[in-house]
Amino acid sequence: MVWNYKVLKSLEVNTPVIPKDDERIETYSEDTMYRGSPDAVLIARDEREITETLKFCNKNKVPITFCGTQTSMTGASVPDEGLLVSTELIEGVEDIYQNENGTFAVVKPGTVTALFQKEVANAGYFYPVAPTSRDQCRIGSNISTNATGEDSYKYGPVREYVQSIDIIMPDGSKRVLTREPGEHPTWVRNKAGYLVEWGNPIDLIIGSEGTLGFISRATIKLLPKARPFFSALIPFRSNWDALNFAIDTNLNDKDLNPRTLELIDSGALKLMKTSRTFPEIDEEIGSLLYIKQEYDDDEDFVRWIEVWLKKITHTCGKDLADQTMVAFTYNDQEIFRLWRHRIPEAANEIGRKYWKNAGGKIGSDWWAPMDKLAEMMRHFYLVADASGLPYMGYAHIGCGHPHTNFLSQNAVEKQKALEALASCCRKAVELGGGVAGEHGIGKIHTDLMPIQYSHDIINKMKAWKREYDPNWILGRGNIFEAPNT
Amino acid sequence: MNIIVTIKQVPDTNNITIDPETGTLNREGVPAIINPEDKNALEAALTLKEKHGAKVIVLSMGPPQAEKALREALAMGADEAILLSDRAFAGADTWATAYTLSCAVKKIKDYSLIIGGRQAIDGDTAQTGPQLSECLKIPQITYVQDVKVEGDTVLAKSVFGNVRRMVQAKMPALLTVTKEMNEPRYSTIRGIATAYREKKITVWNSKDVDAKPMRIGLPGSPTQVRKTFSPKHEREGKVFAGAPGQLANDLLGVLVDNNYV
Ligand SMILES: Cc1cc2nc3c(=O)[nH]c(=O)nc-3n(C[C@H](O)[C@H](O)[C@H](O)COP(=O)(O)OP(=O)(O)OC[C@H]3O[C@@H](n4cnc5c(N)ncnc54)[C@H](O)[C@@H]3O)c2cc1C
Repeated sequence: MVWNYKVLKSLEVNTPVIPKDDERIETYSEDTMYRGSPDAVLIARDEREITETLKFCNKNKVPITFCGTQTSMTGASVPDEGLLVSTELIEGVEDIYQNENGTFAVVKPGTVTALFQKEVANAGYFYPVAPTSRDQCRIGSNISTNATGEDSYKYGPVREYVQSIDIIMPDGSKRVLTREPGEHPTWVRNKAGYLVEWGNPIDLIIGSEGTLGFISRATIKLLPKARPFFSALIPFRSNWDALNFAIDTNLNDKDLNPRTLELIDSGALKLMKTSRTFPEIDEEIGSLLYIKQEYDDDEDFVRWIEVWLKKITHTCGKDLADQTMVAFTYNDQEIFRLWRHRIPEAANEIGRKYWKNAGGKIGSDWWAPMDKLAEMMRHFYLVADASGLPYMGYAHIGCGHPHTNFLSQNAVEKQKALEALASCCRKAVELGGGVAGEHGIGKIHTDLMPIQYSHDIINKMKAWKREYDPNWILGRGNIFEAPNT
Repeated sequence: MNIIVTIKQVPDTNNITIDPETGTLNREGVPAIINPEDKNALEAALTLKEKHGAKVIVLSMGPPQAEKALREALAMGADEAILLSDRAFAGADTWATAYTLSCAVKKIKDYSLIIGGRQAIDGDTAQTGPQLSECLKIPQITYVQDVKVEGDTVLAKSVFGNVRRMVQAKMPALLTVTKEMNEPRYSTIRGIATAYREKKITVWNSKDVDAKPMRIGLPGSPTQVRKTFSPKHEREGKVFAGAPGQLANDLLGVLVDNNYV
């Protein structure tokens, strides 16, 4: 699949293409984890420009990668070669409507997730999938990565809410994929490659990391107005106390159905404390659980406060229970959220400092079934301790999917971190889980695919890829290594 | 020692807009919160309580819904809460509010300090605190960023613009504090449970506090609002030119000149 980047000069669209030697291209050359090398960038203005560009690239076999805000943690939004098309200007909510199947919003792909949430909230509805990066990331990308958010413990991934999508194929043709009324997609956190058991092709596209077509429009199912909630940070002495509490809540305490159930282990807590507004807390506090609990009215609020207080006192003792911080006003909840956001942010900042010495942050994305999570975490902490590197575990523990990070300062340490990661991925798969529960595969985790899938299944996925994108121009290098040129 | 903290429930201005036609606040659907600097006042009181032992009484004038703000204050650790609620209080300006609060303070009688926020974010007048001290004829220290209690005096660091003063006053005294004073604590889960299940909010009306009808609510409010408007920020752009090193120097110069660094 040979192509010549000079051919890009003859791409005719209204918007000027940013060429490789323009310094503006720098902003588009890396995501949080990966540095690529786009040959040109097009900040497309509309669907027509995308269609023209796709046709052009397909004809000339020019690799084309789409991006939203490039918050991907896998290099999925940064090409190693070819044209990068940004969706940042194709944004806005086109319509909010109701029919006998529910309420829906029609949205353009470049719409920032938080703004989308705000707009549907202003119209009296609720869109619950809020990635921690929601102030930056965009809906089209969220669909393309089947994003989850803080609240997926209760509300699941984006897949659940995508009712219909318009996709533009490499040859410029358009397809509209729609769910049947009453169709309920899977909530399994698996984001490694394409969904193997897809029934409706919409489920093949969701989570396909920009490798099968351009999502030009989406119809999103909305929920009734959000209920109020309070957030709490529950303190524990050790990582294990927090873990056992979370596992017990998920498996045995079916009455408790919080929106969020996240771990902040001792390594993550250290980073959270670097947040300017984080208060001083007792030194004996070694880890936290971050929960959000919904309620209906004042009486229900107090009832839930008491339910949690009882459980926390019972498991942690009165001393720690008394140090459980609660946020029940919007401002305080935002502050809690930003503390939580500080963890990946700080880890990424540190990791990037080590890039120049060939080190960096090595993040995991594996997940395990809840009834196997204790075994999985035991394995992780063993491997992590043995590596001798700084590490942390945080986030969606209630879904069996903590983010674990290693910080490596140089190439040797990085290798150790990668080995630890691979070991955890093998264990996760052995326990019935998977290698990618949130961020997908992108370019940096293609080596993990064979851990989870047999040769046959990977070949099956490649066949679907060829069916949609015969010239293999879309998101080249994502999910599968780029084919030989 | 009893410390009275005056708090006001205000619309959360982070979530508010002003109707450009009428110049009034669009209050619909906007969450109500404790005025931020009143939270700093409460934090200051709770810190003094932890150090010297004290009873912290929160006092608010407002409609019945203001109970929620008082509950939050109780959850943060206040011991008692009093809500001044009466239709006759409606329409009060800062003068009538200060008078009404002073009637309640007189009824409480035994207190060493009154602490309030510098100003409420829905009016930005910074008048109620000082007026309350005038009504009570007690000393006031405003714009406080730090406070110490020694015997029967209070020593406070007051910062206004570039002027810093250490001011000492004999108690009882009134302080208004700014957001730089502290980081208000978060409610604890047990604090909330106790605030809702065990602590009571006392509600007083105009008769309970023996307030003169002509000095409260609209009749007691001499202020006439002639116009409200959204402040226009006259932003000034400045373009620097030159080599990167020079640019950095010029920029730093401006930041230093304006006391930003
Ligand atoms: C601090 C931080 C926190 C994060 N938290 C979460 C989290 O809680 N949950 C979570 O799921 N993820 C999270 N992420 C990862 C990331 O934000 C998500 O993957 C998000 O969906 C990416 O959005 P984006 O707009 O930045 O997309 P990009 O990174 O620009 O692109 C992501 C992928 O989408 C493809 N794509 C973009 N637009 C289109 C389109 N119109 N059609 C087809 N393909 C397209 C790209 O090719 C790429 O493969 C986090 C990242 C960071 C940095």
